[in-house]
Amino acid sequence: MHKFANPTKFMKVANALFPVFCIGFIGLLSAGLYYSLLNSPEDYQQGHTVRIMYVHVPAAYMAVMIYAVMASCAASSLIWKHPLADLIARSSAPIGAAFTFLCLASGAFWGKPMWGTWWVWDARLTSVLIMFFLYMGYIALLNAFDDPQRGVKPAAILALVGVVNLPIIKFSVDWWNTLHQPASIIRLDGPTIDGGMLTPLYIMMGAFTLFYLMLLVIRLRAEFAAARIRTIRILGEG
Amino acid sequence: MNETSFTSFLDMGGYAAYIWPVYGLTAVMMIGLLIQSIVIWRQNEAELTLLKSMKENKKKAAKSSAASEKEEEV
Amino acid sequence: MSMSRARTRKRARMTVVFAGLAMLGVSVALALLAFEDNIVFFYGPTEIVEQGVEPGQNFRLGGLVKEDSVGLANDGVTNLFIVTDNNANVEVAFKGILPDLFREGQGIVALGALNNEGRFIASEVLAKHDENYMPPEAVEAMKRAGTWKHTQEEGN
Repeated sequence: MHKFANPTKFMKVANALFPVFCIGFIGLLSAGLYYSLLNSPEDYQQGHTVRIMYVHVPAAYMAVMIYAVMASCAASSLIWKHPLADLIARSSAPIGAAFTFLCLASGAFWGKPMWGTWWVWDARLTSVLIMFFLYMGYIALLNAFDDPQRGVKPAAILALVGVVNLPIIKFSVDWWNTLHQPASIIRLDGPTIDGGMLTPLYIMMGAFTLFYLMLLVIRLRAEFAAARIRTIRILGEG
Repeated sequence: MNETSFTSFLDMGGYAAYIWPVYGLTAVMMIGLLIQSIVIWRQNEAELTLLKSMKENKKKAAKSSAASEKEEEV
Repeated sequence: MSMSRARTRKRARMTVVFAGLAMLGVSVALALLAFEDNIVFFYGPTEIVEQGVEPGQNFRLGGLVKEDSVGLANDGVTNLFIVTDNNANVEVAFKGILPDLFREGQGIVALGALNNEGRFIASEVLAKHDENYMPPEAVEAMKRAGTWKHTQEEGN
């Protein structure tokens, strides 16, 4: 019972914040779509295809951030055996995988008209694809065993191993010649994106973040219910 | 919004075939994830309530059978 | 079970996790250094000229399309242009459709091989985009103010 005292408190806070996430998401998404599709300039080189960036960059940011959350939770579930950490990690994985897929797909739809190809095996694109496989591997390992608790440890180890990939993704464009352009936002001399384009970009990033938090609360509720079902079943059969 | 500006908005400077699929895919992915999450949560909650009520019924059944045994004794 | 024993085990697990991550990081870094030549997506004209690549060997050439170098060959379909890193130049011939972003002064990456005359025969040309995102009006304003400088990435 002591173990679940903390998660219960956590869910109380999460449930209280849930409406804030929902309303904030709807608000930011509407504003983000308005700016990215209607009220932002064309690019002097790319024309309207710059609008793909307003989905692509936030998706990439979410994919990497959610992986970092998942891996830190995996680490604390390995070290401290904290049940909440494991639940957050397993609830985040499918969301992170979906954002990674969206990042790759939107990139391909930009690459075809601008670069002249859907896909190249350069360091940035390849390392992001590897992250997608790491997400899928984590989900597969979690569900590989009849006893759901047995998958927790191997999956957490895989998630942790994949952390090495995060700096590779970020710095791939600096360390090696890539077709993908260098960093435009997080760089020492400030963003190289015009202010009129940064507005929709930041708003969409906020919207995607709130979407993640919103889904995380729903999926955690599901996981807590599943955990209680397991407890009742074990007690009932025993 | 008049008709020409609307069609030019849809045309996206000739890149409609690349831009709209991206936004469409984003919508599909977000709605899909949301629905899937809600469905799992609802299913688990329903199963939990069912299990709880079964447990209650078992307890009640055990109590009432114990009570009826007592009655027989009397 | 005493509290301190549980704590020691937690500390031991933490050490294992962090030591494991550090070792993994070092080995991956070494592996990446060893395979650097395979991870690099393209080579610049200077590297090609200095290292003397053999004719017929396939590789990717990356650099800027030199100003006033784009033209058509006598057959009327083969595109000719020069790829430069402002240090060395490589002549390129390409028969095919160029991507929308292809223009003079812009970065490209071409796949192909050198022929015996030292000309790069490309089978594929991709445009490279730089990290700058700007509306055309902003570019015009900067050009008028004289603060516009086309960020030419130095192909290293």
